[in-house]
Amino acid sequence: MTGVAAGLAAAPGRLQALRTKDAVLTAALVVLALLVVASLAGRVVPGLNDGTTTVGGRFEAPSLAHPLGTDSLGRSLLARLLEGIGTTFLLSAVAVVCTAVIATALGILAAYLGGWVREVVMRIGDVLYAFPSILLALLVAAAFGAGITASLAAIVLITVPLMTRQVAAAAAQVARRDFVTSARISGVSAPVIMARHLLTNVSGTVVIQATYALSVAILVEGGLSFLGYGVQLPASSLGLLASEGNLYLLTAPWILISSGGAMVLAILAVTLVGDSLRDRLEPRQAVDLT
Amino acid sequence: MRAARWVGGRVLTGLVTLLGIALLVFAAVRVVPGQAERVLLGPLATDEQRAALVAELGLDRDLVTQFGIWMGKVLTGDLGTSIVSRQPVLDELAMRLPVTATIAIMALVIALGVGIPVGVLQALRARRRGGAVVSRVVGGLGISIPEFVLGALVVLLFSSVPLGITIGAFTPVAEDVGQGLLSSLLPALVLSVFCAAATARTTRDAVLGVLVEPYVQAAVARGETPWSIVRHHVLRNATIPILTLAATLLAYLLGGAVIVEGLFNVPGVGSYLLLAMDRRDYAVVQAGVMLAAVVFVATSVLVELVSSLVDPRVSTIGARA
Amino acid sequence: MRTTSTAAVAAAIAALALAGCSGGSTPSEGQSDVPDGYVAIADDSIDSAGGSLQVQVDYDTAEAQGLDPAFAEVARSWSIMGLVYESLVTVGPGFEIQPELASEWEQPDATTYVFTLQPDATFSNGRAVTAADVVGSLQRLADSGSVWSGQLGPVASIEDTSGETQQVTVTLDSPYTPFLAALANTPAAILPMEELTAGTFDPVTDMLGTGAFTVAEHRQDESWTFEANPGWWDADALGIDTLELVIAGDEQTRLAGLRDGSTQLANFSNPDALQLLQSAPNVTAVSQTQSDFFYAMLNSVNPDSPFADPEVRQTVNALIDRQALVDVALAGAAEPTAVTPANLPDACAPDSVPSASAEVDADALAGVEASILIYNSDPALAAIAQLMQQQLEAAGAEIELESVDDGTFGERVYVSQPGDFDIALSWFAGYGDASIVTSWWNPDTAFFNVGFTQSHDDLSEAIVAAQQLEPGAERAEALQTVCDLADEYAEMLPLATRPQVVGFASDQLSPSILSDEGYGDFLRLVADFRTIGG
Repeated sequence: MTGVAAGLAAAPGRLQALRTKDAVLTAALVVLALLVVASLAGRVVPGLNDGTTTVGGRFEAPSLAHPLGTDSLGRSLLARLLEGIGTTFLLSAVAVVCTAVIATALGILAAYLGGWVREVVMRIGDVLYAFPSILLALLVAAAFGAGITASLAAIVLITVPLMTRQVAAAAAQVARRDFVTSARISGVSAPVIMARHLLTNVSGTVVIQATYALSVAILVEGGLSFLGYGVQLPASSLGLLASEGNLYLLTAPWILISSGGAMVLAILAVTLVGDSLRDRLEPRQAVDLT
Repeated sequence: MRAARWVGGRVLTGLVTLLGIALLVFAAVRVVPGQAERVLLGPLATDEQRAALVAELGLDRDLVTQFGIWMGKVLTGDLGTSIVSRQPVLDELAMRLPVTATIAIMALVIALGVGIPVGVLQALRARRRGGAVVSRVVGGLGISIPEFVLGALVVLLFSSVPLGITIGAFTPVAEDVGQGLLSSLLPALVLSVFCAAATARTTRDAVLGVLVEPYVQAAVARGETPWSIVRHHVLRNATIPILTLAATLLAYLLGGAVIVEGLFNVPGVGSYLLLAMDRRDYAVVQAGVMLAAVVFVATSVLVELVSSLVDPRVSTIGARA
Repeated sequence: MRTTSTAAVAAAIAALALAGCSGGSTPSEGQSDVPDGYVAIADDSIDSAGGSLQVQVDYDTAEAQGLDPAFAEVARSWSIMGLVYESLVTVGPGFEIQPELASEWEQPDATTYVFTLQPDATFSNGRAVTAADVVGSLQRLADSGSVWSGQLGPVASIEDTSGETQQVTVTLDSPYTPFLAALANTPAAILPMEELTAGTFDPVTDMLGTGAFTVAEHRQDESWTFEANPGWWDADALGIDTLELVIAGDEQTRLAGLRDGSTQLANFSNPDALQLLQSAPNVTAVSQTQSDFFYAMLNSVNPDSPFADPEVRQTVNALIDRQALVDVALAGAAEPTAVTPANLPDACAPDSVPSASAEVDADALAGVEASILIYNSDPALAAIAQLMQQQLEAAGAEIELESVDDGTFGERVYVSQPGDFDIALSWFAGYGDASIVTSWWNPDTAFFNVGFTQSHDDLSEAIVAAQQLEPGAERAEALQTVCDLADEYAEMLPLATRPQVVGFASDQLSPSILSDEGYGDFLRLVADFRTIGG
């Protein structure tokens, strides 16, 4: 999944006319909002908020009571799907917030202080970045015991290096600018400069990178849970459902299709939002050859 | 002289990274609960038997000595012995690496073969509104489909409809080249979807980055044809980010294809490491992680060296793409 | 003089009992004349095409003592090693004990067994099997302290009593009915003791047996290649030349292999495989009834466990709805069981034990907090655990699930003293006699469960008493006492039998598969398999 991070980090599309950009962005935001609303409904709406109790027979066909039918233990699949979307989103979001805080702090420190601090931060980042990510996640799961904590830690460890590098690069550019130099000369303290000038100027990079980290997080959660080391039963997550869907692919293909589909939609929407943000926050103008 | 020092510095950084990874994996397998002598020997072993295994594995020495011994052995090409199969880890990896490498290289070739042209086209047509939306969504889909979802669907399709490739019998290339390539094709295709989409994104971005350069605008003003501009100016300068991505993808494919190997029952490195992890087979886990890390670091350094040849500014600025 | 009478009686009773028990077994299509005791039988009229047989199994043998059969603890090891090694006897249809390396045996009195060896039997290196090999192998097992050594029973002596024929006499201290069924398992395999003693053969890394196959290649966790052993004493009966055993951990892959015709036989512990394979052309799926069963361990030794309190254990035992576990978690392809496997002769009826009729208050477990520990390589355990969680929470308990890798599971359950868990789920092989598995309810002889079960004199005595009785009503009564006591102590709770589905490519293979199995060996009759030439 290091490759995932690297692939996502390269942003395309800086040249779309504003209107198309808005259309794609709007669509992506609407999809995300729908997924969030659905997962919230899965917490509160009676009938949709119980994904852990056996309510019917095994693999019942869709009905009014259970619009997506039931799973191998006779639980409402729709309730489990909504719960799964919620778990996956919440877990990924919390992990990305942690990543953003750590990466921003480390990146700014490395860029402003330079020297050995930068060297140490960058080398640790290299180590984590070069460590095969799925194996890193599995080792973390084995050490912490499989579950939400392990998934969270794994996502943070996998997403922190790239984001730190990007933030450090952005912060280094800002740190060379005149207003930072003049602030330093006029005696403004380092913490204030880092907070007031560097942090505000790298916030765009942080937001863009956070969206990409979010899609990586959804993939990592999925992969870990698929292998049985992530979110634990009877809770639900998109990765767990996909794992069960794989097991029952021949009898109940809709389990994989619904959970996998939700995952694809979520990652796609998040990525498109990230692209649009990047277009807006870091625009450049190229010639048109055609 | 300056270039030589830069190269030396990059190699040194790479070695430091590898040392860090060695420390990390060494520590990690020892933090994982369930020690080898307990997991492997099971409930009936006597304390003496456990002590004997601990001594055999060298786990009774202090950590620094253990690490030193391990490093010393690794540097002389001795990766230890698997406590499950009782075979040298080097032999087992040597048997499994070609399997994984075949799939990785196939996936990478497909990814670059599809991703680069698509990326260039996307960049050149970036201003066409409808096309841009379609290409963004399609490209986005490529990086959004988790490999376990795609892999499971491919397994289902090929086992339901006779399409000429069987899932059940994987043939390593070492046994039969033709059959080996054929049975590597599906896992490689599944893995290549993401890689191709990522390559297209990077290519497109890199090409667009070049298109803003003044020399391209000058070439347009001179009346050069678009194709000539792409060939002479754009591709050459877009090489670096694409190479960098390719190196990352290769390392990812060599070390991280655990799930796809499982789905297609490929006897590769990834599935080998996953089992070794469950069984606390330290020597195997350590060797496998180091293998993937060495490949990653080596290709990264190599790519930077190549980049500095393509674009001498890389070494003078020392910045990475 | 009673010649093999015990076995014969056992077989007769088994056949009767099985008539009513094999309801779960589905005879294969197109094989309407499958005899009792089988779910598939090789078509004798087929002149086997020989060649290579591709089999996929779920996991490889990975034992602490490598390939040494005497120390093999896992059913998959028994079936894989059983391709190369032979024991004196084997198990046939209806759990009948049949000759293997011993061509015949006599039981002059209740504690003496005289085995006559196959005259033509040789090890695959060409050396003839001698009585000394048998004496040495069995003595080695008895002295080994391995899991299976205790199952041999109260062995007093093993002697070479050869005259004109190679003969071995085993004397027991007291009668032990499951002796032959215990001898039938792979850990009692006959090893080439001459080579082993001389140090020219290491059973941990090599296999040198008397059986139908020899190992051509083994790649751990990847594949085995077995070749027909031309020197096997029954080599003429063998229908295949090469057996390729591929380890495919992902069930979807095994299904795919059968469906696309690249694999001729595969096993599934997921009962839904029967239905999953229904639509596939040229694939027949059969359900083999196992005496193996799932059980729940309630930790009565660890003071931190809520189950140190016997009343809480009894409440849990009474609350578990085993029929619901069968219907939902096991897709109906199993049956509830007591300590004695439900499909074996003289077994107790699962609803006959005290907990089955105990009255429990609606909030009997209020305030009880516990976690259920399972390992993640068997999806059936997750299904059972989730249902048990629902059942116990309905009575007010707060239950968590914890799924760990196999290594951690073994470490926390069997190795840690006391066991580091509240409830854990696993399964036992059920073997071929109802009284064998009961030995595990005495931690002093089972060893592996001293960390979570206590030793109870009355239960231990009842187990031994039942094992001394010949099959029949009296023994059934004695076994009922064992079931009742184990139920009251409620430390290891038997739940339900474990399903096993075997799928095969019916256009390429005509296999023989027993309807009931106690050692997880779905390849037991592989020598009878016939491949169909195309």
